[in-house]
Amino acid sequence: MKRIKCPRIRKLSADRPEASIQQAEKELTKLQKMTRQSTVFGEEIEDLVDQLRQVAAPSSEPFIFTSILEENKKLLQSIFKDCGDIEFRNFDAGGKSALLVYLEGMADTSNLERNVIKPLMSQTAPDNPNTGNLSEIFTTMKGISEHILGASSVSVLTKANAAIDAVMMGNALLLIDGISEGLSISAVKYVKRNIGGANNEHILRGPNEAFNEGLTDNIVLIRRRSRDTNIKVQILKIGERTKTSVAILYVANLVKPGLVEEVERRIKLIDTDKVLASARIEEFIVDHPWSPFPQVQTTERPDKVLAALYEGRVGIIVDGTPATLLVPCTYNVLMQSPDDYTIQPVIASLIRLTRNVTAFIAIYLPAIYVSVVSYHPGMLPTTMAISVAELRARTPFPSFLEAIMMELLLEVFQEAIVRLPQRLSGAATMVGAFMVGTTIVQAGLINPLLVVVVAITAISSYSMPSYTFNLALRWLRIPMLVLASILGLYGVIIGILAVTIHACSLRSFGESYIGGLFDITLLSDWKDGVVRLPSKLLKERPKEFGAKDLTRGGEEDG
Amino acid sequence: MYIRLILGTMLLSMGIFLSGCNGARESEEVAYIVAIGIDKAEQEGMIKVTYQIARPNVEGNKGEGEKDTVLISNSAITIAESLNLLKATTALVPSMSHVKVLVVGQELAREGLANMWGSLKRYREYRGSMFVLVAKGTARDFLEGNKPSFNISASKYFETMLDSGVETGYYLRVSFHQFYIRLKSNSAESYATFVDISNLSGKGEIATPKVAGSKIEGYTAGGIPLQGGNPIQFAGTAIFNGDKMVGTLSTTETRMMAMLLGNFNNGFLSIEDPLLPKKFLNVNLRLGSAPNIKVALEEERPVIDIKIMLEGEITNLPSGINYEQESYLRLLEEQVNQVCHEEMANMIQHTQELKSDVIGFGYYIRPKFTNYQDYLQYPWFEKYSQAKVNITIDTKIRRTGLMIRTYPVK
Repeated sequence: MKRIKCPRIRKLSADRPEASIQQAEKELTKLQKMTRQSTVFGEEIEDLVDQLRQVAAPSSEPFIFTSILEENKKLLQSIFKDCGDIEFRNFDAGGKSALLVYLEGMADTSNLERNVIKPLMSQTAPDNPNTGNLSEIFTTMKGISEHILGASSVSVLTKANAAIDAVMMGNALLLIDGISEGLSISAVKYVKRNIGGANNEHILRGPNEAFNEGLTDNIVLIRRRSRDTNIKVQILKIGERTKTSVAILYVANLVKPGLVEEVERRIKLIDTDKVLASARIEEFIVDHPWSPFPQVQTTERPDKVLAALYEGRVGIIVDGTPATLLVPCTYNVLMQSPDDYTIQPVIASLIRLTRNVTAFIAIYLPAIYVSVVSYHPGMLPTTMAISVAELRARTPFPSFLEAIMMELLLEVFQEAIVRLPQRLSGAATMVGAFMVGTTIVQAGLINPLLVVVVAITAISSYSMPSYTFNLALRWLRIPMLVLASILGLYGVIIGILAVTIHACSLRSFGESYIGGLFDITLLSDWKDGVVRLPSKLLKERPKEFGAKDLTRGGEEDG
Repeated sequence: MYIRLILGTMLLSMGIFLSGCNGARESEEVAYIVAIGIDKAEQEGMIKVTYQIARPNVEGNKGEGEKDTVLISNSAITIAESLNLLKATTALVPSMSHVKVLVVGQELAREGLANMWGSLKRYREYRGSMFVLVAKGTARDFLEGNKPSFNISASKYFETMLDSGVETGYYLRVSFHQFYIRLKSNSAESYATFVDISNLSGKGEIATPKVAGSKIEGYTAGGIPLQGGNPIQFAGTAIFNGDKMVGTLSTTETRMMAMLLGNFNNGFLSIEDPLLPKKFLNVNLRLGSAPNIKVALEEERPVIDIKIMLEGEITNLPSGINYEQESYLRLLEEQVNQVCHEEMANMIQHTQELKSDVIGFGYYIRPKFTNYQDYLQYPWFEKYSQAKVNITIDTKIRRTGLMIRTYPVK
């Protein structure tokens, strides 16, 4: 029988020194120490939380004001932690300590000094006969604002969020020991551009002021033009983080019922972190974001906005963008320019008709050229057919490829000229003119007739009053060209049908994009549509936008 | 939304793949035919087709005095076969879409054209708008002889030439479509512009002598006294009986025909001075109203009543007689009436002899029949040659030109 050999049992610590009692004790004390420390930390955090929500602050608010100024200051400091441009100004007001919080650079300090700090500090005089009264005044912010402060616009704030927003907007926040309220004093003053001329919508006769980036200034530009109390301004805050102000402007007794509510609804539905330009808002509120056509009219001219408001439309001004949005927007509206109203009606009518023709040319001319030259030369006059053949004989590429090359070149030039600094863009234009005008033709790459066709097309698209519409036309040209090269004139006709049907089915806030032109019930709108009649005869507002009061003159409120 | 997208894609792809044009051809790969000439070939039963093809002037390869067209002839049994041969022998693809004129040699025209017309009308590349010409000699000679004296292309030459014919009424233009309609009609016969090459000798060849009271003779193409310029001449009309050419009308006759067709725009008339027959006077005439034509069916022969209203302007009065005066004006109008009456009567008689109702009186008898079958029963083309024609011409001289009174030369 084999004996099983038992290994001798030894102490674990002999084998593994780290398992010794001493070592374990050492570790244990370390752990106890850490636990103790974390309890302290926990308590401290709890204290902080307690401080932050002393009287059960509602979940939407970071904290609520207490009546102890030092605590309020601490709370605010924790909110504005690491915001170096926030100024905390302590001073003495009527024997109580006061605190003024404002954003450096956004608030008008001299204004605050004059109208807030100075009156409050002067209340400290002990021999003031109204001392008894004074202590009463100093119990509410309302009292202070009514009796002491010289600032023009103040509002009492009880909620912390509103106070923080007020500070971030550039207002000053006044806190006084013993009062659990804040007072927002509007003293916004920041660097901004002066009101300048319209850069992108220059007109020859007529006002040339244009919007700039400040929302209030922009609203002022409109208010100054009309002393009408019916012009309403509704301001919304959009953007999870930027909280950009968006103003909805309308004329209360004109606008189509339901339109303002719809605009408001769509703007409120916007779910984004930032709004840096009005185009962002535009993209969110349009009915068909995939369409190349602009479905919102953009303008930087206050007169244009006012004219639109009095047609029963709604304006949307976004803080920080001069480009203001106007809805609803139809083809007809985009084809009009303020200059039409400053020149003789017969001339304006002719110009408008020309504009409509050029819009057609801008989309279809290259396509028609390609289809006629490569599919239906029989449609050309014989001499022209032969001269086209003569011109084309020197160029190596099929007309479609030629046209695409030319379009590409044109787009490149346009892009280059737009992107380059102003001084250089002149040089780019020169290079373009040389290349396209002479060299490309001489080199036998592209035939001169096509250069003429593409040049006419480009000029046509530039003549649009709306830049976004011009872009739409430029975009549509390419699919038309492809259709023409595959299917000939048949393809061009398919393209024309598709574009027309698409434009007819587009709706901008309920109004058909192009359908209004063909609606017999809107015939009276033609007076100020494709043609323009003398102002004497334009007695009615466009029916298309459903203004409540259709007659322009007379009793507007009736 | 997705339904729309799917439907849209389906419709678009169907549009692209199931239909559309697929005859794309770059313009420099196409040879534009400007004129087609058809003649009898030397071989029995064959035709010789001549194509005048525009030659684009590509920079650098145009020599001095080089023509802007080339002439290519081939002989084949049909026009379609000839086109095949042309396609096989030229580098470029011939295109029929710019054919301006179709010239037929007289010899072939007199034999009949019905066999050819079908393929020209039915095949879509030939245009119904090309004009039909009949050349006195051969079509090839005519096309070869065409040397426009002004710097215009061959195609432009034919266009403007046929336009200007309308101005004088000395020749009429007829499109292939009109020709074809009349060919298949039982109310009118076809006609075509008559053309020829002049020898540029300056000697004329009178086709119809002047009538009493008139100062001018009628010519047919090739007979106009001409020196210098383009040797080819457009003058007169080739008239057909069925698909066969039977004769020609001279310039003066063509003018009367234009009046009856309502195509007479304006033209000068040189007539004898009614009071001084040795002198002449000129009036510029135009149609005052559409011709009023009535055809009555009488027992043995139809009776055609024609009323023509002419308006005129005096353009020359060498005699110095004061025709501006009311009483003298009547004399002048009478003279015009008489000359036109006689010329018109002669012209109609000429067509009656040739048994060819080129004016289309047949259209005016249609209302006399209760139904189309009855009309078809009536042998109009035979009856036409026996028809009695009454002509009334009413001339009103509206203006006396830029002078209101004339005095004789002292």
